[in-house]
Amino acid sequence: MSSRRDFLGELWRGTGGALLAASALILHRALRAAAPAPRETTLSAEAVSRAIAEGGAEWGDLFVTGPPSAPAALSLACTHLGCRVRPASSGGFACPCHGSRFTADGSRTAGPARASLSRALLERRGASWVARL
Amino acid sequence: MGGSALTEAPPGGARSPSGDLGRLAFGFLAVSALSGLALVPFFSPAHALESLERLHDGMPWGFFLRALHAYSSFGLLVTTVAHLVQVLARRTERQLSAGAWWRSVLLFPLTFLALLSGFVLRGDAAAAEALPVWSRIAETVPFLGPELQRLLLGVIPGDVGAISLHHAGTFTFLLWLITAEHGRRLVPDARSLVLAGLVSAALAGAVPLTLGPPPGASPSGAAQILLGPWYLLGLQGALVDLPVPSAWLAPLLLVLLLGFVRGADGRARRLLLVLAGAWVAAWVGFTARILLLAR
Amino acid sequence: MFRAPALIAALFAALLGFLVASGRESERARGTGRGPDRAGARTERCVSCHVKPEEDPGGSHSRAALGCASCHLGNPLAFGKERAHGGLEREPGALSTAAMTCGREGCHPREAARVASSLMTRASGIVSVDRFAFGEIPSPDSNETVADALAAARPTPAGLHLRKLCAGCHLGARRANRDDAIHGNGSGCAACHVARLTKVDPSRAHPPIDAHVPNDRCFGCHSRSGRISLTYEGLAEVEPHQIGGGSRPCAAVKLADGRPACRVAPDVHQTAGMSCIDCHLHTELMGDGMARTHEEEQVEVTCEACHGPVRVGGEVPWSDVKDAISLEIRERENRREDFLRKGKREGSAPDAPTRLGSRGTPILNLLRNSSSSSSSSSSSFVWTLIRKLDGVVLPVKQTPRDANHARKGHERLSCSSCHTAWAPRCDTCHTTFDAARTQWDFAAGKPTAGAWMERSEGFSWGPPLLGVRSDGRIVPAAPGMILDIDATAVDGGKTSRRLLAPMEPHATGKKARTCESCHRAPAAPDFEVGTRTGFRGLNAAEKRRVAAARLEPR
Ligand code: HEM
Ligand code: HEM
Ligand code: HEM
Ligand code: FES
Repeated sequence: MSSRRDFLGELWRGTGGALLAASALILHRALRAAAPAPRETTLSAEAVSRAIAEGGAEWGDLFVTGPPSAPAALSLACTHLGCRVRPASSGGFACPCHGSRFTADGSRTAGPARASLSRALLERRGASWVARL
Repeated sequence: MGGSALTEAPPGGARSPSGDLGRLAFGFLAVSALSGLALVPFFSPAHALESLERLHDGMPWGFFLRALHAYSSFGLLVTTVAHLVQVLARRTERQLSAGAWWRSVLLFPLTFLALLSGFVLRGDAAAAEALPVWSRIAETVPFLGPELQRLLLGVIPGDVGAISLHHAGTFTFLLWLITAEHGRRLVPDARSLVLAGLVSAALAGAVPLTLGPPPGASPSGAAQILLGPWYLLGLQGALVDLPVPSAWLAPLLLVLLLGFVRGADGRARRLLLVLAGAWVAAWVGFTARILLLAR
Repeated sequence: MFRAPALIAALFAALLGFLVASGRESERARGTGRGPDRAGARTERCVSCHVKPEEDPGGSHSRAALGCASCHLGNPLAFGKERAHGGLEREPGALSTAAMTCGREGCHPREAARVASSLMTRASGIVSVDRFAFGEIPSPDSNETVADALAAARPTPAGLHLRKLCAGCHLGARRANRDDAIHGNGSGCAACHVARLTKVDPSRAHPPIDAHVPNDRCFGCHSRSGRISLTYEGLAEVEPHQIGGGSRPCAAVKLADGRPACRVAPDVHQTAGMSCIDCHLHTELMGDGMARTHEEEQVEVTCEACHGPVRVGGEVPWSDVKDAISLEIRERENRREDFLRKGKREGSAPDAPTRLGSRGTPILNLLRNSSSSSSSSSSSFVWTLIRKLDGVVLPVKQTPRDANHARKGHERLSCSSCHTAWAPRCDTCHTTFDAARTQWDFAAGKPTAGAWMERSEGFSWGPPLLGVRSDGRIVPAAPGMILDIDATAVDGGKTSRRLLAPMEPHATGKKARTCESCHRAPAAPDFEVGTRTGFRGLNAAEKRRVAAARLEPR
């Protein structure tokens, strides 16, 4: 008798556990799938030549620089924790969150960030340029 | 409740072995939740900053309501710390079952999550800087990093909808649930509520809360250190010197240290407490570090 | 904790807090705008306070459509004045913020991008010729911009000269840091596109913003140096001592910035009511994205583009035009009852011909229409120019194929070497550095120690000298830089320069200059080199040929 009650109790518990596990799995799959799509930024040829003429300029969360033959974009997201780095008065970039510093071409010089700012050559597409970062 | 609730001696009262501060903390939690509820009709996650501006300067006493909510939550943090110190000083840990104690310890990180998620709800330039930081920190959790990040911050980049639901829902609910369990009461007693309300109102009236400019509205000025909210400066300072996972490892360490206090005796207990004290000292030190760096 | 004293203390504190807050509350209520708070589809709290009719620029940039923050930045969501005005741009259009104002996404990013490359922004011709004149660089062609010159940590003597004298005229200059001739203009984009602020206007009406740029915007800068704005209006600048006592009669006028000038014959295009933008193309003014060093490299329009004979490929159907900006303007003006409509309608047909500047930019307001006679030869068409500011239609005379224009030996002459009636001459300029004085410094934005002093024995004017461009063409030239530089006070040397600058004086006369004015002129003075690589005065052989040529009867 009592073993039957035990068994029913186990059944309830097992079912509950399975239900929980299944829900967790489903949630996990959904969250996994929600990865953001890779980003492409399109820049007009003129914006790029202006940026180069000015010695580099911000464009959204990118920083566009020369040389004219091979323009490139730096991501302004700090490689430490993603704050937006700003042009420093002493040249290069500085991060306002934990003080990382980068040179004008994005190499890290100081602070907790380990990597250089991510950098990509712009690709020509028709009359515009595309940055994939 | 009525008048009698205010004159009745609160159950436990001064005779409570763990002191009054736990009840006062519950009072602050209730003021937070009530004032938060009062903010709900004015707040829109999709137009976070705009709706808060409208409340702050466009509604009669709106700035006061906001500040009441913020200061009661600061009050909660301060009294919770004081309450814990009181509990540890009086060695009343074992009033709670082991499970209830471990859950109570979790109230600490939960309080920080509630405060932080509230800060992000502002949607101003400072809040916009905080978002990617928290997102990257969550990503460094092994195995489940990205999932955790999306669970907490939502899957729409830059949107605070998910965070606002966690703030007012998940975190508030868990805080209340665990408090109710270990305080053995569903709501705070009337005196704690009144006292917490008066203290929050005094601060809210005297020291207005700020609201920053919209993100990206004006040219990004010369780089300096932008200070986060005061209760997280220790973490901001720590991240200057320590690797990123310390942002969740350090709280985990504190939870473990405090969690094991209940089962420990004598030298083990003392060691755990010294380590926890060192943890707090480091927090204070890192707060000083970031303040110095920002100067 | 829960006894009476705690309660009383807390009550007292809360009361105090409440008092402070009620003070704040009444202030808040007073400091909040009552007007509607929308502009376009956005929330703009700015317009809840800025309700006066004169605070509206009107037109396509009206307050109702754009609000204030689109151009002035600040915080458009804030209710109180102080916070709303945080981060304000008081000079919208200023190039340092243009990417966030005029050039923001959805407005004019392309134009803002081009202006950064415009010579009026870079001013690299001024910089490199100045350095060259001081003997600091071997050729007058460098890419250094005025911004570079102002940013140099240790200015050279020429750098110091630029900072103190020349660097107040460029599009990057803000209102508080400019040459006094251009004080009323806006900054950056607004220097041309926004009406000048005049001190006499008491209402401080919001100046309107538009694309019809009248000459007064150009005048400030271009009345300096080559002084083409003065010349075009028929004004010859003189030194104060030349008024009255001078050797030539002078109908004296005083310019807004105090300089004296004499009235002379204006340019025939001025007499016809034409403004600068009737000839000059958007690619010359706003730039076309290419960085150039000298003005004649930036300018695209030529006399021949309108008056003929057009260069090969200089006249194409509109369907062949590539320039996107011109196509957009044309489409817009075609839709609107605007200047193109005021011309004959055929000019706006899709395959109507257009004439182009030297780099392919069409001259939008030059239209070909059929004349009243209906034969099919090309002479049955007339070219007309529509004045952009008022829509008046002018006939454009085409260069006749006559003996005067086919004169042997004159093939290398540009139109303006014969058709320019006069050009200003500044043939004495003594420039010294006086360390004891102070002078405005455009790098510091305030007066600093040391001043460049300029002294001249007087200006004159007359038919221009002629010089030879690197491509062999003969063009008017100004003895523009006949100067003695004494930079010993700033560790520079003493230099004496006799430089010849190619220029379009903008003084087209009713009649071409006489043959005698060249063929009987005293031998042209000898000049060192030109202010451009390859530009020079006539060499000995050329001078001999000019003198030896028999004067034919006119
Ligand atoms: C949100 C934060 C917290 C609130 C609102 C809160 C609230 C309370 C309340 C209302 C009581 C009952 C006190 C009484 O009746 O006298 C209490 C008791 C207690 N709390 Fe907390 N508490 C919080 C955090 C914590 C934390 C973080 C710990 C430990 C890690 C903790 C440990 C205890 C203990 C051991 C007691 C004694 C229980 C007893 O005397 O029966 N509490 N707390
Ligand atoms: C029913 C529960 C709650 C609701 C509906 C709610 C709602 C809100 C809203 C709408 C905001 C944004 C308002 C603003 O920044 O002015 C906010 C901010 C905030 N909330 Fe809550 N909240 C609740 C509970 C809590 C709790 C329990 C805490 C603390 C433990 C808390 C702490 C904060 C903090 C620190 C802020 C940021 C204030 C600031 O610095 O601007 N909230 N909350
Ligand atoms: C920790 C507390 C809670 C959290 C974090 C939470 C979160 C959410 C979220 C994220 C949604 C939107 C889901 C969607 O539309 O896909 C939602 C919807 C909803 N929630 Fe909650 N919720 C909480 C508590 C509650 C409670 C206590 C109730 C009612 C007693 C409730 C009733 C509802 C209802 C009726 C909907 C609409 C569902 C639908 O029609 O799709 N929630 N909740
Ligand atoms: S996010 Fe840049 S230093 Fe931390």
